[in-house]
Amino acid sequence: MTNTIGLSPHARRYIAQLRRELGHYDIDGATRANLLTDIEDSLIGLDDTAIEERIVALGSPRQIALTAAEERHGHGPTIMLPTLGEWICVALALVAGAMGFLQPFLGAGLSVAVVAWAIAARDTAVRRRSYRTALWCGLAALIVNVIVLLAVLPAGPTEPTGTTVVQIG
Amino acid sequence: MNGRDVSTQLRKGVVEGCVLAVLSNDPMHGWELARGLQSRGGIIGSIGTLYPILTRLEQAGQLSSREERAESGRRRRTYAITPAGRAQLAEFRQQWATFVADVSEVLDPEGTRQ
Repeated sequence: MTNTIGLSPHARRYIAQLRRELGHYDIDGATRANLLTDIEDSLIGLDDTAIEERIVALGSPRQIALTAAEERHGHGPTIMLPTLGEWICVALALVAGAMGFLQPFLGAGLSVAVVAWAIAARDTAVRRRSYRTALWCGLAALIVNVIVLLAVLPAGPTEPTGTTVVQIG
Repeated sequence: MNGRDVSTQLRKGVVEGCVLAVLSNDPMHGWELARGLQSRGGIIGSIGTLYPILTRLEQAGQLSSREERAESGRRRRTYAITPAGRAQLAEFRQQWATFVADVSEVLDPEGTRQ
Protein backbone atom coordinates (compact mmCIF):
# COMPACT_ATOMS: atom_id res chain seq x y z
CA MET A 1 0.00 0.00 0.00
CA THR A 2 1.29 3.44 -0.85
CA ASN A 3 1.31 6.43 1.44
CA THR A 4 0.30 9.78 0.01
CA ILE A 5 1.62 11.91 2.89
CA GLY A 6 3.90 14.66 1.58
CA LEU A 7 2.24 14.83 -1.82
CA SER A 8 0.59 17.98 -3.13
CA PRO A 9 -3.16 17.76 -3.84
CA HIS A 10 -2.43 17.70 -7.58
CA ALA A 11 0.01 14.80 -7.23
CA ARG A 12 -2.38 13.00 -4.89
CA ARG A 13 -5.15 13.22 -7.48
CA TYR A 14 -2.82 11.85 -10.15
CA ILE A 15 -1.81 8.91 -7.94
CA ALA A 16 -5.44 8.20 -7.02
CA GLN A 17 -6.40 8.21 -10.69
CA LEU A 18 -3.47 5.93 -11.54
CA ARG A 19 -4.51 3.53 -8.77
CA ARG A 20 -8.05 3.45 -10.17
CA GLU A 21 -6.84 2.86 -13.73
CA LEU A 22 -4.47 0.09 -12.66
CA GLY A 23 -7.39 -1.53 -10.85
CA HIS A 24 -9.28 -1.85 -14.12
CA TYR A 25 -6.80 -4.29 -15.61
CA ASP A 26 -5.37 -7.67 -14.71
CA ILE A 27 -2.04 -6.44 -13.35
CA ASP A 28 -0.39 -8.40 -10.54
CA GLY A 29 -0.13 -6.86 -7.10
CA ALA A 30 3.68 -6.59 -7.03
CA THR A 31 3.84 -4.74 -10.34
CA ARG A 32 1.05 -2.39 -9.33
CA ALA A 33 2.52 -1.67 -5.89
CA ASN A 34 6.04 -1.03 -7.20
CA LEU A 35 4.77 1.18 -10.01
CA LEU A 36 2.64 3.27 -7.66
CA THR A 37 5.36 3.57 -5.01
CA ASP A 38 8.03 4.68 -7.48
CA ILE A 39 5.83 7.19 -9.30
CA GLU A 40 4.61 8.57 -6.01
CA ASP A 41 8.19 8.81 -4.77
CA SER A 42 9.13 10.76 -7.89
CA LEU A 43 6.44 13.38 -7.20
CA ILE A 44 7.30 14.13 -3.58
CA GLY A 45 8.74 17.49 -2.70
CA LEU A 46 8.12 19.06 -6.13
CA ASP A 47 6.28 22.32 -6.64
CA ASP A 48 3.20 22.43 -8.88
CA THR A 49 5.12 23.46 -12.00
CA ALA A 50 7.66 20.65 -11.59
CA ILE A 51 4.88 18.17 -10.85
CA GLU A 52 3.06 19.21 -14.01
CA GLU A 53 6.23 18.73 -16.07
CA ARG A 54 6.81 15.33 -14.56
CA ILE A 55 3.22 14.24 -15.11
CA VAL A 56 3.49 15.24 -18.76
CA ALA A 57 6.65 13.12 -19.00
CA LEU A 58 4.97 10.18 -17.25
CA GLY A 59 1.84 10.28 -19.41
CA SER A 60 -1.77 9.90 -18.41
CA PRO A 61 -2.69 7.33 -15.76
CA ARG A 62 -4.78 5.51 -18.34
CA GLN A 63 -1.84 5.27 -20.73
CA ILE A 64 0.45 3.97 -17.99
CA ALA A 65 -2.10 1.35 -16.94
CA LEU A 66 -2.74 0.31 -20.55
CA THR A 67 0.94 -0.13 -21.37
CA ALA A 68 1.52 -2.05 -18.13
CA ALA A 69 -1.37 -4.39 -18.99
CA GLU A 70 -0.18 -4.79 -22.58
CA GLU A 71 3.36 -5.57 -21.46
CA ARG A 72 2.21 -8.08 -18.88
CA HIS A 73 0.01 -10.03 -21.27
CA GLY A 74 1.93 -9.49 -24.48
CA HIS A 75 -1.26 -8.32 -26.20
CA GLY A 76 -4.15 -5.97 -25.60
CA PRO A 77 -5.07 -5.37 -21.97
CA THR A 78 -7.36 -7.74 -20.10
CA ILE A 79 -10.13 -5.94 -18.28
CA MET A 80 -10.69 -7.34 -14.81
CA LEU A 81 -14.12 -8.71 -14.07
CA PRO A 82 -15.38 -8.76 -10.50
CA THR A 83 -14.56 -11.96 -8.60
CA LEU A 84 -17.15 -14.14 -6.88
CA GLY A 85 -16.12 -12.68 -3.51
CA GLU A 86 -16.73 -9.15 -4.81
CA TRP A 87 -20.18 -10.09 -6.12
CA ILE A 88 -21.06 -11.72 -2.80
CA CYS A 89 -19.87 -8.70 -0.82
CA VAL A 90 -21.97 -6.29 -2.90
CA ALA A 91 -24.99 -8.65 -2.88
CA LEU A 92 -24.84 -9.01 0.92
CA ALA A 93 -24.76 -5.23 1.29
CA LEU A 94 -27.96 -4.98 -0.78
CA VAL A 95 -29.60 -7.82 1.16
CA ALA A 96 -28.66 -6.09 4.42
CA GLY A 97 -30.39 -2.93 3.21
CA ALA A 98 -33.55 -4.84 2.27
CA MET A 99 -33.58 -6.65 5.62
CA GLY A 100 -34.06 -3.32 7.35
CA PHE A 101 -37.75 -3.57 6.49
CA LEU A 102 -38.11 -7.13 7.78
CA GLN A 103 -35.51 -7.85 10.46
CA PRO A 104 -33.67 -4.61 11.28
CA PHE A 105 -31.53 -6.22 14.03
CA LEU A 106 -30.27 -8.87 11.64
CA GLY A 107 -29.97 -6.27 8.89
CA ALA A 108 -27.83 -4.02 11.08
CA GLY A 109 -25.60 -6.96 12.06
CA LEU A 110 -25.18 -8.02 8.44
CA SER A 111 -24.43 -4.42 7.42
CA VAL A 112 -21.63 -4.19 9.99
CA ALA A 113 -20.21 -7.50 8.78
CA VAL A 114 -20.28 -6.33 5.14
CA VAL A 115 -18.64 -3.01 6.02
CA ALA A 116 -15.90 -4.83 7.96
CA TRP A 117 -15.32 -7.23 5.05
CA ALA A 118 -15.20 -4.41 2.50
CA ILE A 119 -12.71 -2.40 4.61
CA ALA A 120 -10.49 -5.45 5.11
CA ALA A 121 -10.51 -6.36 1.41
CA ARG A 122 -10.43 -2.85 -0.05
CA ASP A 123 -6.69 -2.30 0.21
CA THR A 124 -5.50 -5.77 -0.70
CA ALA A 125 -7.93 -6.76 -3.45
CA VAL A 126 -6.75 -6.79 -7.06
CA ARG A 127 -9.89 -4.95 -8.05
CA ARG A 128 -10.82 -2.47 -5.36
CA ARG A 129 -13.78 -0.79 -7.00
CA SER A 130 -16.25 -3.55 -6.08
CA TYR A 131 -15.23 -3.49 -2.44
CA ARG A 132 -15.58 0.27 -2.38
CA THR A 133 -19.07 -0.15 -3.81
CA ALA A 134 -19.84 -2.79 -1.18
CA LEU A 135 -18.51 -0.47 1.52
CA TRP A 136 -20.83 2.36 0.53
CA CYS A 137 -23.79 0.00 0.06
CA GLY A 138 -23.05 -1.55 3.47
CA LEU A 139 -22.91 1.86 5.14
CA ALA A 140 -26.17 2.87 3.45
CA ALA A 141 -27.74 -0.41 4.59
CA LEU A 142 -26.52 0.21 8.13
CA ILE A 143 -28.10 3.68 8.13
CA VAL A 144 -31.40 2.26 6.82
CA ASN A 145 -31.40 -0.44 9.50
CA VAL A 146 -30.57 2.02 12.28
CA ILE A 147 -33.35 4.39 11.13
CA VAL A 148 -35.86 1.53 11.08
CA LEU A 149 -34.68 0.37 14.53
CA LEU A 150 -35.05 3.88 15.95
CA ALA A 151 -38.52 4.10 14.50
CA VAL A 152 -39.56 0.74 15.97
CA LEU A 153 -37.93 0.88 19.43
CA PRO A 154 -39.84 3.90 20.88
CA ALA A 155 -43.09 2.01 20.34
CA GLY A 156 -42.24 0.09 23.54
CA PRO A 157 -43.45 -3.37 24.59
CA THR A 158 -46.83 -4.46 23.32
CA GLU A 159 -49.58 -6.16 25.31
CA PRO A 160 -48.62 -9.82 25.90
CA THR A 161 -52.00 -10.94 24.68
CA GLY A 162 -51.87 -8.70 21.67
CA THR A 163 -55.30 -7.26 22.53
CA THR A 164 -56.08 -3.65 23.23
CA VAL A 165 -59.04 -2.50 25.26
CA VAL A 166 -60.71 0.54 23.86
CA GLN A 167 -63.05 2.39 26.09
CA ILE A 168 -65.79 4.28 24.32
CA GLY A 169 -67.72 7.08 25.83
CA MET B 1 2.62 -0.13 -40.62
CA ASN B 2 3.40 3.43 -39.50
CA GLY B 3 6.51 4.75 -37.75
CA ARG B 4 5.13 4.25 -34.28
CA ASP B 5 4.22 0.63 -34.96
CA VAL B 6 7.73 -0.10 -36.20
CA SER B 7 9.39 1.34 -33.12
CA THR B 8 6.90 -0.41 -30.80
CA GLN B 9 7.55 -3.74 -32.49
CA LEU B 10 11.31 -3.25 -32.40
CA ARG B 11 11.28 -2.37 -28.72
CA LYS B 12 9.37 -5.45 -27.66
CA GLY B 13 12.17 -7.89 -28.16
CA VAL B 14 14.96 -5.81 -26.70
CA VAL B 15 13.65 -4.15 -23.55
CA GLU B 16 14.47 -7.06 -21.25
CA GLY B 17 18.03 -7.24 -22.60
CA CYS B 18 18.43 -3.49 -22.18
CA VAL B 19 17.14 -3.59 -18.59
CA LEU B 20 19.66 -6.32 -17.75
CA ALA B 21 22.43 -4.35 -19.48
CA VAL B 22 21.72 -1.14 -17.57
CA LEU B 23 21.53 -3.01 -14.26
CA SER B 24 24.73 -4.92 -14.98
CA ASN B 25 26.66 -1.76 -14.07
CA ASP B 26 24.89 -0.71 -10.88
CA PRO B 27 21.74 -1.56 -8.94
CA MET B 28 19.02 1.03 -9.47
CA HIS B 29 15.54 1.78 -8.34
CA GLY B 30 12.73 1.53 -10.87
CA TRP B 31 12.19 5.21 -11.43
CA GLU B 32 15.88 5.84 -12.15
CA LEU B 33 15.95 2.89 -14.53
CA ALA B 34 12.82 4.09 -16.34
CA ARG B 35 14.25 7.56 -16.86
CA GLY B 36 17.49 6.09 -18.19
CA LEU B 37 15.72 3.86 -20.69
CA GLN B 38 13.34 6.60 -21.81
CA SER B 39 16.17 9.03 -22.39
CA ARG B 40 18.14 6.50 -24.46
CA GLY B 41 16.19 6.77 -27.70
CA GLY B 42 12.93 5.84 -26.01
CA ILE B 43 13.75 2.17 -25.40
CA ILE B 44 10.62 2.15 -23.28
CA GLY B 45 7.74 4.31 -24.46
CA SER B 46 5.93 4.54 -21.13
CA ILE B 47 6.95 3.90 -17.55
CA GLY B 48 4.04 1.46 -17.42
CA THR B 49 5.99 -0.87 -19.70
CA LEU B 50 8.90 -1.25 -17.31
CA TYR B 51 7.32 -2.61 -14.15
CA PRO B 52 5.77 -5.79 -15.57
CA ILE B 53 9.20 -6.51 -17.09
CA LEU B 54 10.93 -6.00 -13.73
CA THR B 55 8.42 -8.35 -12.09
CA ARG B 56 8.91 -10.94 -14.84
CA LEU B 57 12.71 -10.80 -14.67
CA GLU B 58 12.60 -11.09 -10.90
CA GLN B 59 10.30 -14.10 -11.10
CA ALA B 60 12.70 -15.65 -13.61
CA GLY B 61 15.55 -15.17 -11.12
CA GLN B 62 17.42 -12.78 -13.40
CA LEU B 63 16.93 -9.81 -11.09
CA SER B 64 16.76 -9.47 -7.35
CA SER B 65 15.21 -6.59 -5.49
CA ARG B 66 15.23 -5.21 -2.01
CA GLU B 67 13.45 -2.41 -0.27
CA GLU B 68 15.43 0.54 0.98
CA ARG B 69 14.51 3.60 2.93
CA ALA B 70 15.04 6.80 0.96
CA GLU B 71 16.27 9.97 2.70
CA SER B 72 12.67 11.09 2.88
CA GLY B 73 11.98 7.97 4.95
CA ARG B 74 9.95 6.39 2.19
CA ARG B 75 10.29 2.84 0.89
CA ARG B 76 12.07 2.36 -2.39
CA ARG B 77 12.73 -0.89 -4.26
CA THR B 78 16.19 -1.30 -5.73
CA TYR B 79 16.86 -3.85 -8.47
CA ALA B 80 20.12 -5.70 -9.09
CA ILE B 81 21.17 -8.24 -11.68
CA THR B 82 21.77 -11.83 -10.53
CA PRO B 83 24.27 -14.38 -11.95
CA ALA B 84 21.38 -15.89 -13.95
CA GLY B 85 20.65 -12.41 -15.30
CA ARG B 86 24.28 -11.93 -16.33
CA ALA B 87 24.20 -15.25 -18.17
CA GLN B 88 21.00 -14.19 -19.92
CA LEU B 89 22.56 -10.83 -20.81
CA ALA B 90 25.63 -12.53 -22.31
CA GLU B 91 23.33 -14.72 -24.40
CA PHE B 92 21.30 -11.69 -25.49
CA ARG B 93 24.44 -9.76 -26.49
CA GLN B 94 25.69 -12.64 -28.57
CA GLN B 95 22.36 -13.18 -30.32
CA TRP B 96 21.82 -9.46 -30.81
CA ALA B 97 25.11 -9.06 -32.69
CA THR B 98 24.20 -11.93 -34.99
CA PHE B 99 20.63 -10.67 -35.41
CA VAL B 100 21.71 -7.12 -36.32
CA ALA B 101 24.20 -8.46 -38.84
CA ASP B 102 21.55 -10.72 -40.41
CA VAL B 103 18.91 -7.97 -40.60
CA SER B 104 21.43 -5.53 -42.07
CA GLU B 105 22.35 -8.09 -44.67
CA VAL B 106 18.68 -8.55 -45.61
CA LEU B 107 17.90 -4.84 -45.68
CA ASP B 108 20.99 -3.84 -47.61
CA PRO B 109 22.57 -6.83 -49.34
CA GLU B 110 24.90 -4.63 -51.38
CA GLY B 111 26.10 -2.69 -48.37
CA THR B 112 25.49 0.56 -50.20
CA ARG B 113 23.36 2.37 -47.62
CA GLN B 114 24.95 4.43 -44.89
